[in-house]
Amino acid sequence: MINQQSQSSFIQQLVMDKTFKFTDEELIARFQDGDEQSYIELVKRYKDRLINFVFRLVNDRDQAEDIIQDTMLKLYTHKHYYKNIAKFSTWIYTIAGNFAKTELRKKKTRKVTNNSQLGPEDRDYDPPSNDPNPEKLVESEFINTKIHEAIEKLPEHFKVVTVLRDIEKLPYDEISNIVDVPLGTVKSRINRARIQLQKDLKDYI
Amino acid sequence: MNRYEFEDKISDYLDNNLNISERQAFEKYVKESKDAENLLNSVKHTIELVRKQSSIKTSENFMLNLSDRIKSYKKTPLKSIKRDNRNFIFGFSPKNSALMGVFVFSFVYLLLNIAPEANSLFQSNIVSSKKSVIDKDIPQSPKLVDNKMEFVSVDSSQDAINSKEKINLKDKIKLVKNKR
Repeated sequence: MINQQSQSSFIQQLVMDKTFKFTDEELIARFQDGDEQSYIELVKRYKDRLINFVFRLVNDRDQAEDIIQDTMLKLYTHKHYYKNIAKFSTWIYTIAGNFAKTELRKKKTRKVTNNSQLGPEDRDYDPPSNDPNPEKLVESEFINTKIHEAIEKLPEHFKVVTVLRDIEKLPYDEISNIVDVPLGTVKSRINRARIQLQKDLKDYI
Repeated sequence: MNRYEFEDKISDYLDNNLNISERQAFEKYVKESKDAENLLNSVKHTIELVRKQSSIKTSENFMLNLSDRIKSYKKTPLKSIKRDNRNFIFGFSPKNSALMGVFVFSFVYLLLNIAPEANSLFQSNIVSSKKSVIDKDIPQSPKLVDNKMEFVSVDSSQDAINSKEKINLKDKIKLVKNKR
C-alpha cells in the first residue's frame, strides 16, 4: 500500500516536472484537450505577472486580484477561443488589460478617490530591498511611492505600454500586439512616457 | 541632429535599437550638449528605478478562490439552461404566455362577433378597394374618336376627363392592322 502511494506521488512529481518543461502554447493546447493540470500550471505561471501589470493600471490590489480571477476564469471558460497564431502571453495580457480598462472606465464614472493619495503605509506590496538600514529602507520606499504616483499620473495609453515594457519587460512587438497599435506608435509612446516620468521624478532621483 | 530628434531617439538608444550611423550621430550630439547628456542619464536612471519597482504577488487564497469560482461555474450554467428551457414559452414565462393567449383570443372574438358591422364594412372596403385595384390593373384599349386616327388616352382622374385633352398620336403610332 505504502509502496503504491509513493509510486503515485512519484508519477505525480514526474508529471509536474514534465509540465514545467512545456511552453505556454503547449500547455494551452493540452488544456484545450481536457488536461486541467496544464490549466493550473498556466495560472501559476501568470497570476503574479498579471497582477503586477493590472495593479499598476487600477491602483487597487483587491480590485487587481479580482480582475486576475476574472481573467483566469475566462481562460477556463473560453479556452477554445485561443488560436495558436499568437503567443499565449499576448492573449492572456490582452484579456487582463481589457478587464482592467473596463474597471478603469467604471471607476471614472464613479469618481472614486484616487489611491495615489494614500501614504506608503497603505500600499500593499513588498518592501523594495532587503537592506537592513531603516533610513535607506524609508528612502527607497519613498522613491517607490513617487514612482508609483508618477506612473499613475501618466495617460492610460502611456501607462499601459510603460508597465508592459519596463515592469513586465515584454518585447516591443508583443506590446504592439497586446495594445493593438503599430510598433512605431508603441516605441513613440514608451519614449514619451519615459521622458514624462523623468520630468515628474527629477526632483527625487 | 536637433533637440527633438535627440528626444525621439532616447529610448531607441537605450534599448540598442539604433543603427551605427544613427548611434554615432546621437552620441556626437550628447557629447556636444550638456543638457542632452543630463537628460539621457536622468531617463536612464528613471528606467532603472521603474524596473526595480517591487513586485506584488497574488494572495495565498488566490488558487482556492479560483477553484471555488470554477466549481460554481461548472454547476450553474447547466442548471440555468435547464431552468430557461423549462420555464419559458416563446420567450414568455408561463403566466405571461397564458395571459397573452387569453388576450389574443378575446381580441379576435370581439373582432368577429361583437362588432360584425364594422367587420363587414371593413370587409366591403377591402372588396371595393380590391375591385378598384383590379380595374386599374386591366389595361384599357385606346378609343377611336370621330372616325379619325386620333386616340385619346383614357385617364381615370376626373380632371383629365374634363379637360378632354386629345393627344394626336397619328404620326407616332402605326397599327399593324393599317399596315396590312
